[in-house]
Amino acid sequence: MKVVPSLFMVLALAGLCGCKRTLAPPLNAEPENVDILLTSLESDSGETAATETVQKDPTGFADLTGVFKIAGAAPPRAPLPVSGSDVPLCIPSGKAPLDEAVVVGPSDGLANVLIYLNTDIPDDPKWIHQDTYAASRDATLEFDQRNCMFLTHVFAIRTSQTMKIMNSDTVAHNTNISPRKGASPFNETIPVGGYVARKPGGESPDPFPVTCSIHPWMKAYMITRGNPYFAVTAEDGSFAIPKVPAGVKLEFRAWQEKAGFLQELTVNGQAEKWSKGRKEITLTPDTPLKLDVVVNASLLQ
Amino acid sequence: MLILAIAASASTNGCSTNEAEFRQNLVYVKAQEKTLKSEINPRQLQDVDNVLVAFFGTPDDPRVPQVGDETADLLSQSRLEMAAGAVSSNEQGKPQGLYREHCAHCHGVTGDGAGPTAEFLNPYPRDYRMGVFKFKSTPKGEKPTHEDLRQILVNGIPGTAMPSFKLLPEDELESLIQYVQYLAIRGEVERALIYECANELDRDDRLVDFDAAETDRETYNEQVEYVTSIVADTMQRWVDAESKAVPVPARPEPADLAASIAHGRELFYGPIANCVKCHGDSALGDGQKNDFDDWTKDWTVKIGIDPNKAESGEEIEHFIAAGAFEPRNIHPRNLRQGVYRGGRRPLDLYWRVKNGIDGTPMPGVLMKPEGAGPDAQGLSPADLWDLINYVRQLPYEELSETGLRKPNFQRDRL
Repeated sequence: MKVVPSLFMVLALAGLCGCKRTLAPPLNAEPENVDILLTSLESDSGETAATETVQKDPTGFADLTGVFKIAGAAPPRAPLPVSGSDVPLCIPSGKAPLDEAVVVGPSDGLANVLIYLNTDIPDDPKWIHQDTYAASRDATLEFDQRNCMFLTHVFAIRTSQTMKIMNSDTVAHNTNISPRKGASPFNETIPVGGYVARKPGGESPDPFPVTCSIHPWMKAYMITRGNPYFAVTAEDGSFAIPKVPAGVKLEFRAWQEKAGFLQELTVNGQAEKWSKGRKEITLTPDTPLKLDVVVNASLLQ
Repeated sequence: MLILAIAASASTNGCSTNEAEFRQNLVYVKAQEKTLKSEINPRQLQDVDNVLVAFFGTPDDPRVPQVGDETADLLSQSRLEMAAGAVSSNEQGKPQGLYREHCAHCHGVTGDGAGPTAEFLNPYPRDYRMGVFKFKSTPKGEKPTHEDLRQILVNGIPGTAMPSFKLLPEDELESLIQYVQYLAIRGEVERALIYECANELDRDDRLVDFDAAETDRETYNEQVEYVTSIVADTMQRWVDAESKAVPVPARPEPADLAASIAHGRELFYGPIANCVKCHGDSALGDGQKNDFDDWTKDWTVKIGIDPNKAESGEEIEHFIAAGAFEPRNIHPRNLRQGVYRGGRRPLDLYWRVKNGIDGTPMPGVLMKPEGAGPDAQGLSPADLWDLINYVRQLPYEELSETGLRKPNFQRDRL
């Protein structure tokens, strides 16, 4: 007779402490390797390797240009979920703007691809072409918002430059900049017709989002770089980085919002794998290099 | 029979383990993998675990990371030991295992905000591992100061499940503050290392190639130096925070409080502070209610999942299976209740409004540059105090009174 209630109890208890809730697994360390590392951390003192590879100076400069195109059908652009009391002021036309994650322009050009020099280079005229870049070194770059959209979807800036965050709308925005590393975070209200001019902070190794909390559909990306060698593709997919140091091995990196770092590409007709978006390039002085890059649409789904 | 039944169910359900262990940040791994569109090499993730144990030890045997003189004073080994481990006391009667006694049931042994009670609480307990804390004196993006964390422990967080630990002796509080810093730093380093694996290393690279410790010492040393620099940089930011508290100018005694409040009200609804946009026309916190905090955005909005959309459900389940909690919208504070999570002192409100609140949509207010003319855009410190005076009287405005509480004076009835 006692058996039945106790079975119930087992079931009830099992139900009560049921493991629906998931926990991440514990660390999976290997004691022998932890010991190796501990030993080297304790003994490490004079071993600070001065292995900074002294790179030889560039022998000149050359232009790096190119175009990113999409192969296959671009994913359809959905209207953004515009809502809230600001709708009449944000979209006077009444028509919601389209998502900008994948923007394909004329002749299959892929817009808003970021390509940037990933190699640390000295801030030195031998490396930074003065006629091309000295004037813009301390420039102020505008980052504006209108109709509750950021006018620049991928915003790249040198750390020496000033970012002027503007608001050309009739509603207030707050611009929330959240870098993972390097650049300065920011989240302040930008009054109607007003602006905030700010230094972007340090160099960020990768792009990071810019949002507006008042209008959650607003989204842009940003990157801060110590050198001037970066570009964002235009509507037709084209980009140009003039006067890049030549005669030295450089590493560029390519990124697109939806695809992340672009890894599998066809470059000038050849299939290439850019591991984590990285591409090594050594330019010949005064010999422009053009990259015709094709991105498979499947990477942008 | 009953005991048998309990024993049987406890042994079969396998929910719990007696050993306290740090758990992996699987949600962050999965988020990185989604962006990457492939798996991170498990060998690299095991390197991450090795590095974490070498620098930080385990929940029973914590270690202050040894990364140089600059950060040497941040954490003390004896403090960490007092907070870590199982709940007990030593020969002198000094308590041990303070973190597990007071904190772990909500914040988890790992400091991942996923203790046994966590999913029943609203708001969820803080996950320290992003190294982001809301209620602090430093500007956006900076770590909290030691004193900021102390304030939270001493006062608790009104309106949440976080209680006050005012009754703990000073040395126990100090141990817990340092242990929270330790868990946060550990979690930040873990994220940074996972990020390295996902976005910097090639698939066949090693984070630290232990097999090369003998054969290719140079490569191995470089790798060790690199991970050490990540730990050192993370700790340095906590050291730096100590000098970054935003100074708060003296609060002027308003000659005319009513005028100050009236001006504050203008600012509340005005274009510069624009509080009304999120806190709502009647300051009930009902303006902008469909955003998320940064801990949720980290594995949703940031990687292209919108939890507001029904069709995101399947992807969200995938992350919940990895240990994430059901996403909840973050709501702006209802300013008519007079409950301020980060403290109700005018000083606290000054920091909240001027700096914004890290990890949340709350922006800082645009301040006039120092020495700027009257035409310059932004608020002056005096404006800010007016705004705070307005906010502080909101709970006592007629609108906030329910009517029942209204004093029923005899002269009113006449």
